[in-house]
Amino acid sequence: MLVWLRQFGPPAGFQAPWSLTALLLLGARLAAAPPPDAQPGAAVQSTSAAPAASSYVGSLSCAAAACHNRGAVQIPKGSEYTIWRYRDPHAAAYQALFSPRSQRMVALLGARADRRQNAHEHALCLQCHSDPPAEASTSPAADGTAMARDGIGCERCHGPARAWLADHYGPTWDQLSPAAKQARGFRNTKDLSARVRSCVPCHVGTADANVNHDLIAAGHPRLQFEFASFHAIYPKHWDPQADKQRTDDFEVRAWLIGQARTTQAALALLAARAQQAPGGRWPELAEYDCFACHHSLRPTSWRQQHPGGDPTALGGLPWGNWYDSLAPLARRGVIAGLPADLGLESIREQMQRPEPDPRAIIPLAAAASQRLDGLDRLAASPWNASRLHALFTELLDDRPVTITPSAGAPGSPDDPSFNWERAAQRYLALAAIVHTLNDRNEPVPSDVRQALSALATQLERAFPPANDGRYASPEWFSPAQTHQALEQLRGQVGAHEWRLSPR
Amino acid sequence: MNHQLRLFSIRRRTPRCSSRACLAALLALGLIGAAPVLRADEPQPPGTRAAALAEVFTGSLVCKRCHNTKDVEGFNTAVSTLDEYAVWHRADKHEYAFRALGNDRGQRMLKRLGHERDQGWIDTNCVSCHGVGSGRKHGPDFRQDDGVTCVQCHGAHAEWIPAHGIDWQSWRALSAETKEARFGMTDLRHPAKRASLCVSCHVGSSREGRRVTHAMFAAGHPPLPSLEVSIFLESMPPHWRPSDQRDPAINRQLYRLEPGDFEQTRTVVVSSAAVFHDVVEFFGAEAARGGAWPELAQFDCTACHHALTATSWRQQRGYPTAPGRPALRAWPQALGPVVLAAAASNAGEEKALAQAYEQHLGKLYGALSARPFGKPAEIAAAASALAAWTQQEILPRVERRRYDATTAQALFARFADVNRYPDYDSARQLAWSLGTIGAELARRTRWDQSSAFQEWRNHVDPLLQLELPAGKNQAIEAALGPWLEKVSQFKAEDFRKDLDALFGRNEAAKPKS
Repeated sequence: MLVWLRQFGPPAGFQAPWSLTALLLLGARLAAAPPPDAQPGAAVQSTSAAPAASSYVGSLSCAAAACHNRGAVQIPKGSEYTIWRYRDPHAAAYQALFSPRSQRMVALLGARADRRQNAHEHALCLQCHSDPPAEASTSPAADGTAMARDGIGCERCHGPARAWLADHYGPTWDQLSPAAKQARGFRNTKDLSARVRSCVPCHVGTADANVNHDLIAAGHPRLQFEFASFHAIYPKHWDPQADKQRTDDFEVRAWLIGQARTTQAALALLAARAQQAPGGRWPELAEYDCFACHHSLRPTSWRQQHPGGDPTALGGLPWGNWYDSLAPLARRGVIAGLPADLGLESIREQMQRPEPDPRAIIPLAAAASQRLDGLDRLAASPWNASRLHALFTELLDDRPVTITPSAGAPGSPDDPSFNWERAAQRYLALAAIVHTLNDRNEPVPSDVRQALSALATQLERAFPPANDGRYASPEWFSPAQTHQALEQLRGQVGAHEWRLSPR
Repeated sequence: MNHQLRLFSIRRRTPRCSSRACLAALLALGLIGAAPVLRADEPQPPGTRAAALAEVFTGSLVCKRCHNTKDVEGFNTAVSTLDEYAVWHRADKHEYAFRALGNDRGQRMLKRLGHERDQGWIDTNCVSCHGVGSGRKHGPDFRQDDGVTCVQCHGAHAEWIPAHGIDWQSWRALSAETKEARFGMTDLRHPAKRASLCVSCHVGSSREGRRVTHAMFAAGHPPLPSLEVSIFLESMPPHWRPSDQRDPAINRQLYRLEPGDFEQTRTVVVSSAAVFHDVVEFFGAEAARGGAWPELAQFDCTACHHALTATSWRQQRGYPTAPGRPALRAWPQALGPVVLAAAASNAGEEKALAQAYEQHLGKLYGALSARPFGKPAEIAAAASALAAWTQQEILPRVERRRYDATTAQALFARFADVNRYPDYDSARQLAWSLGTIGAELARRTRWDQSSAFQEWRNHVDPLLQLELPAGKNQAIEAALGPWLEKVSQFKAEDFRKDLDALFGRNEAAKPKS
């Protein structure tokens, strides 16, 4: 995702530990409320004792040549199924469960106790690598296995089709409002929030689809979702220009809403993990910054540059900072209407105690999530050039969050919280802005482009080569060098007077 | 009285306490005024250890008076070479230990921890290992700068110092137990006791308040290497003779070694068991201590501190706990099969011991799996049970055993049964131990595996960096970079391949999962 600016795929440092096909998954369990006329037990937390017939019909149902399988992959309209089947990694998600890695995971996790010998039979895996197990087993489709083999099929994003399948090619369908369609279970994927909410149940996780540290240690790739960049590289089965025609500031909006909904999903997952604490997985190690621990020991380390730091935080576990990119922007009032305190610092403070209290975390997570609710409205006003320039500059001026204001000079090379993840998220935000400027045909000076590219290269090269691919830890990350790259960008941006309209 | 005068009246090249004035001075200092009467062995009630004796840390200059020059005429050197101080002063890093606190790394650590000028904190947390704390009673010639001095290992009690020198013949007649119980001279010839002493600083001791916390490591304290006692002793360097240069009578009386006994092999095996016991006990005691848990330094460093890679030998190996749950240090268990083989006198006994070992260890790993970092109370219980079992069942057996050439050969062969996926520290423990036993076999027998063994050593040394930055010429700081590089590059399969080659094993053998 670092080199998205150059339209490449994720750098090897990301790919190496992930099986390709396991990467892009679509979730379906979240946002949509069950349609009022749906069969009972459909598309909700399936804890019903006797599941009724599912609302899923299976992706094959979309696969008629006259419907969505025309076969012309260059022209998405009418060939959505074709594109999905042949290009979309989601279609291969089920197959990933047959890999040696998946089998090894099941062996290590002692899943034999469940009498599920294989990953492709295990409910925990199927939750994200195929249609939800409960749905598959009660679907009126040919048989559940066939559905499972779809991987993440059409209905995981577009909604279970039973109630709208017959209507949606009818004459009156297009006249229905999105809400009316929603009532039948047809998700409004044109809405950015709804789109993100399709992704995050699997790409971030839920109570039932929890890629925790146990799974990661067993071999599961770490989940590190960023909506705008994932969306950009996703092999789309729709015309990408359609998104841009609806709103020409699509990319920055995707970034902003993506960040917000992803953070909310992460907070919900944190709360779910805290709920499950009595079961023995607390503190959940996957909540913390991976690389704070997972780095090789060296005689000295930039992490130790801590001149004025908080000694009590020395050697502690820092709460993960992949999902909190909006917090500093909120604090500085960059996005009007976003509350200054998103509530993440109080969560961080609790999580970074030696024994974080799960009962304290649950309300804190809920409160923080609530503060991000109104972002759709905030993002709606158009992002013109000056607004984009201002945001770009704010992002460069942004100082990383630290737990105590005294810890190093914030944002300086001495600040130990400025790590690869924060730098990468910063880059992705800047890239989204540049893409929006491109889409709006606004000029982006070539030296700004080059400096941003240099930053991407630097972040990518933080992963040294190893004998069998690349390291998945950014062993060569240097905060000082990254600061330098950001300084250079600041210089360029200042020279072009991008620091324009007030917030 | 003759003996006393002889001790103090002979003229020497190097100044010694050569006059009655000196004797008088010592008397005045109360050091020998109440020189205990030496009697032949009396049975001591159990538990009458030196706790009843006064603890006082005399400086090494007191020892220097007699122990500074080799082979002095008129002095019996059957036991002591008489130049121990000279060797220690010249070459032993322990002398530098206190001064190390003032070097760059030490100062940076204090700054980061926020305790730069906090003498009390430094005393409690640093000087507890790096010297003699100010809370201790200081005897004659004590200097803080002397670091870890003679009496810290040999016993910090006033009673034995004059006793052992003045009437050395009577002293010599006493058993090691008596010397320890009545006079407070630590029985360092007892391999388990000696190993425990090393562990108390080189890993830690709850009782002695010696611990390096994770905050200290994060602040810059070098990682503590695994402790293989035979190699550490060799690296000191030894200020004592090896067994084959000692009077056999002394060997028997003081060292409990018969002719034909392999002292080094015994050191390896008994130390391994003792270190295992102490480390497990330490883990449990720290968990039981109360206060914030987890103390991350109690866990295996490289379980977390390894860079993530696409294919991971850890995932190949599997986990003794649920995946992703940090566990205690693995290296003290490295010699498990070898120690169990040494403890048992027959295959049936070995099987029974192995089962009990697995059971106790399993409980400890179960406690560690219950949740990340485990529940302290459960860990304390399981660790203390495992330590107690080791104390009761393993230590007495390995201490009692005779380590002759046949035993050494048999134990050497048992290294083929060790864990096939050791981490770096465990691999180094294995390499060191195997190296010591193999070297002794090569030295003392016509050993048919000599050349295979040498070849194995040639492979393993660059892989693991077996040499320690020992002595006063090699700084730990300078060796730190290359060593940590080896740690980070380590792959279990490389070590295993070499070990398989040494034991002529089929390389296609399935790894233990």
